[in-house]
Amino acid sequence: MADQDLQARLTAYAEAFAASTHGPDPAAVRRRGRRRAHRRVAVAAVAVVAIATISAGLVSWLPTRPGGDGAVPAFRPAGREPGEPRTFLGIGRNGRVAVVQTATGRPLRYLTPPLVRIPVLDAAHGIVYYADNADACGNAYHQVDVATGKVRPFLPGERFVEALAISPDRTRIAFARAVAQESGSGDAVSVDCHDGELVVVDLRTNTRRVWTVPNSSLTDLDWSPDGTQLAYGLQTRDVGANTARAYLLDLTTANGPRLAGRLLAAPGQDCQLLPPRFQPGSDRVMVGSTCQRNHDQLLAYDRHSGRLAGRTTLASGQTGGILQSITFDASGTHLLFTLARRHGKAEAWVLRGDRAVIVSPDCDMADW
Amino acid sequence: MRDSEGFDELYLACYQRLVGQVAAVVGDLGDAEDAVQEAFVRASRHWSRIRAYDLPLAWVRRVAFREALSGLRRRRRRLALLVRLGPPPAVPELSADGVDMHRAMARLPLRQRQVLVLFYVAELPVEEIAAQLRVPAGTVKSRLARGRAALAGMLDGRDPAQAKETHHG
Repeated sequence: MADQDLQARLTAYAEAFAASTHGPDPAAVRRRGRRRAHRRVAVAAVAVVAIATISAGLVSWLPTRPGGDGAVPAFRPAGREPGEPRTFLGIGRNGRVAVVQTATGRPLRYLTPPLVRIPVLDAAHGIVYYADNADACGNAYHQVDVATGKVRPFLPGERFVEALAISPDRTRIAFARAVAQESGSGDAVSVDCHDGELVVVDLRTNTRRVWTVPNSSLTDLDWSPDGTQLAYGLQTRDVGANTARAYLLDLTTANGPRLAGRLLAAPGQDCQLLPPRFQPGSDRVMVGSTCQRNHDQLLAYDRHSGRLAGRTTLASGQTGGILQSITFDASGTHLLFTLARRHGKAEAWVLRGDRAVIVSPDCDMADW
Repeated sequence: MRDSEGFDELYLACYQRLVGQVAAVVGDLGDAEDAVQEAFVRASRHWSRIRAYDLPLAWVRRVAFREALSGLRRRRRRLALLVRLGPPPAVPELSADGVDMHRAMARLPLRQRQVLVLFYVAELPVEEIAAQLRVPAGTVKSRLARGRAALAGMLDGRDPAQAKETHHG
């Protein structure tokens, strides 16, 4: 085939796609760019407020218990007393997050790569934070030394890390990684992520346990308060298949190499699962489910039997949004969740008993 | 000078063309639209810097291609959108020629598809493709030769392995 013929046919092929697309108005694209810049600052601000609040022990803004007795849930990271930290995360030049010296207010160091989500807090090892899109199959986690502000990779040598959780007693790390193959080089690198692996590292002995699950991705991890169980989300990697499920793994009895947790929730085809969360001070693990046709739900399971123990339906007439995240406070009394609204803004709500109460009308991410 | 000076013009002139090029590589219109829109959103955020480049379009194209090749993110985004927004947008009706081309391109390695589209559709010189992909010009030439031989072979009804033999023979 002549070069010109090939060019003509290839060009016609590309033009068929081009003719079928009509992008949004350029002003809308610019607005999205501006919103994203603002969102980064907002996310950083929320994270900074959360950390500063925790560091200073200022928890008076938390909602009261459902009984109305005025008690405030106690929440302090282990091993850190109010007033003790020498540094905190603050916002520096251009909205960038910096490790700031408490005494002088001077930024010690700017976070590089920048913080894009609320960090995982870990009092024993500094602050572990999350940076997006390190690899096609995973993210990057970095560790801030709270004394010096130095930032270094949290799992050096590990690639394709998809989720991370630190045990409540800070002695073990659980992370999920993809088994992936790379081909090509430079910008043309193509990554094929296939199996998923769950790795639990005991920091005291530096021993590892690894479980594998074929053709799937472990999407989220959460430790039980006593450190004996892990809840996780699992999704097959088949394009177009929505097979998100939530499982529970008992670490005292689990054998490898195949990951075989107990199935908790398997919502319908038009539903997505949110990361499962253990409720501190109880035997429950909560799973959020957001569906296209049905109302979003908060499903509570017994963490020993795996049985459904309760269900709260978020009627769209009541809350009017799509469930995005759920998280308990340290006492397990309040469940904080965020809802994305159709117009793009997100809201933070607290579940008090069976009643949902809005606490912030404009909040992309929220944490205790 | 307005901050967005030149952005709208570049977007209006190049959006569709870029979607066509990216779609020809990845074989999926939705993924291509996502990638190109993402690239323009990023460009708008850094426009004051990017507009000073000799070829702002090259920056946008590079980001769009890179974005389109991030497989897992694409799949996750699609799953989320499927759940929240319902069925995917309509795909173009391809002619018989287009269907043949679609099948043939799908059988080529990704890096060969990329080079073929940049060379034949975007009409970039080999040196510019090499700069965009950050590979030596010799690598571009070899991918181009292999891709061209394999694609021509498949479109002529020959097996890719046979086409390769012909090329090397």
